[in-house]
Amino acid sequence: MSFILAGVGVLFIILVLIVSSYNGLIRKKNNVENAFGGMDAQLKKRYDLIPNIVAAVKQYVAHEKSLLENITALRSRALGGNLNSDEKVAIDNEISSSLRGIMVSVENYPDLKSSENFLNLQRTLNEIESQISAARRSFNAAVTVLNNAVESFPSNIFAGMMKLKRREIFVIPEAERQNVSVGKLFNG
Amino acid sequence: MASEILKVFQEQIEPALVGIEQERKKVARFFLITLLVYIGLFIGILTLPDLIANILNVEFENVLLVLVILFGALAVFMFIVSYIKRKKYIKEFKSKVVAKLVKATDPHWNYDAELGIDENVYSNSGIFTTPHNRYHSEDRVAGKVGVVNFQCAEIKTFYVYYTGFGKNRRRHKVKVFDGLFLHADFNKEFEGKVIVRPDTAEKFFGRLGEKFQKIGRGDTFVKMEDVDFEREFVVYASDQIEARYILTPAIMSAMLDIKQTFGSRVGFSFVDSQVNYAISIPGNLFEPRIFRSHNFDDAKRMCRFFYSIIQVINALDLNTRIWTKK
Repeated sequence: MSFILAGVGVLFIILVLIVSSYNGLIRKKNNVENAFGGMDAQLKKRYDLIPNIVAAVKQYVAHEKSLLENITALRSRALGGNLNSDEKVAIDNEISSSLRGIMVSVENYPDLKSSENFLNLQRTLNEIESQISAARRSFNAAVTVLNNAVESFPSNIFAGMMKLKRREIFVIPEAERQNVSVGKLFNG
Repeated sequence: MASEILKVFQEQIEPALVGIEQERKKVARFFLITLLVYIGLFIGILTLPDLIANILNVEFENVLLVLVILFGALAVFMFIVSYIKRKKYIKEFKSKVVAKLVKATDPHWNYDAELGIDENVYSNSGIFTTPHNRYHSEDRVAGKVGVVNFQCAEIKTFYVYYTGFGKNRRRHKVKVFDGLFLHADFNKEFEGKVIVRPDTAEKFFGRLGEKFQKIGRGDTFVKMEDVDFEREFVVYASDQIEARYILTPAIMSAMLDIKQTFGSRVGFSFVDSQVNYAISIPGNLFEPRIFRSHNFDDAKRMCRFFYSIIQVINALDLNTRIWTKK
């Protein structure tokens, strides 16, 4: 009798472990999706700001059309839909680089730099960039937790059965870490 | 900084101290007299009742009762007078010396010895997990550092509770916080709450300690990327993204610097677009010595607390206003 009870106890413990591992992995996966959604929401705010920036800058820097057309095109692609996560991240990196370029070029136009409208836009952009950075860090934290669970024993067994794979953290590509060359931006 | 304080001390503080030195000596003298009187009363209570009862041929218990009442009244009277004198001297010291030290730090700052930080600000900060039911705050300094509005004051909080019943009822008083509390504008707008507390669990229990941190808290536990920061602090927030929006790598590094500079238990919180900073420093920070004159080292120690306000605000870079909050 005691042998049967012990057996039932062991089975119960195993069942609890299985359920908690499964639930834990699902929770971690959902946290990653949630974090990516958070990042997406911040990126959307930036996409919404771009037309305002282009309109403000256009009046003063009419002869640097290509820079503004580039960022407008990138925005359209980002909002176009049907992009997977990697494509979204790639476009986001290009937009970041393009916006940095515009802000650098604005340094050459004191009237624009001091205009109230542009200053407000710059503050809003700084705010959004800070929020995007925070969202990226949250995403990376959630992905790290998921990757640890997917690769550590014994949760990796359940991850394999659930076909859960490692996710890539958000990294800034090497090209983006270099200083922006305003000349290259203007020359296309 | 030391040379500036020395200059202020020599030009302004020393003359003020000379003016109240007589008062200090009176307070010290009266305290010593009170002590001697207490010793005298104690010896008197042990020896006089028997003597008087024999001389006057009255009951010992009656003589003892009368002497206890008389001596008790005298003891209470001496205590009250000593207390009043001491309070008067402290008030004069604060208005003539501490106020000058504050103005020497920044002439536009205001100092009020009687005012403190509002209890709601302390409670809403969320830094302290232990509840309190006794609150006292004083020595408030208010002003600006650059564009940053701030208030800073001494705060002491306790939790008083009772155990037992009837004759066995006992009163317990637990100190929750004793130190300086700074409340200032933060340079970003945000809606939620981020709390940064000293991390004792992880320090002692390592990874297991981290598990304890996640249990049983209202807000979400947030694990930050900075390993050094994680070792010293634990973060709770209403939102993971907002926590990282506020706690940038630069801010986390600044918090570590502040902790290392001041060497005490420090906590931070970010609530309603304001920042709160609490540092545990027991004792009365802005009160004078009674049995010796206030000297340059004492003045320097006090100024260090006032300069720490500027140091903390600059370390957190609160004057950088490049976001939507101006």
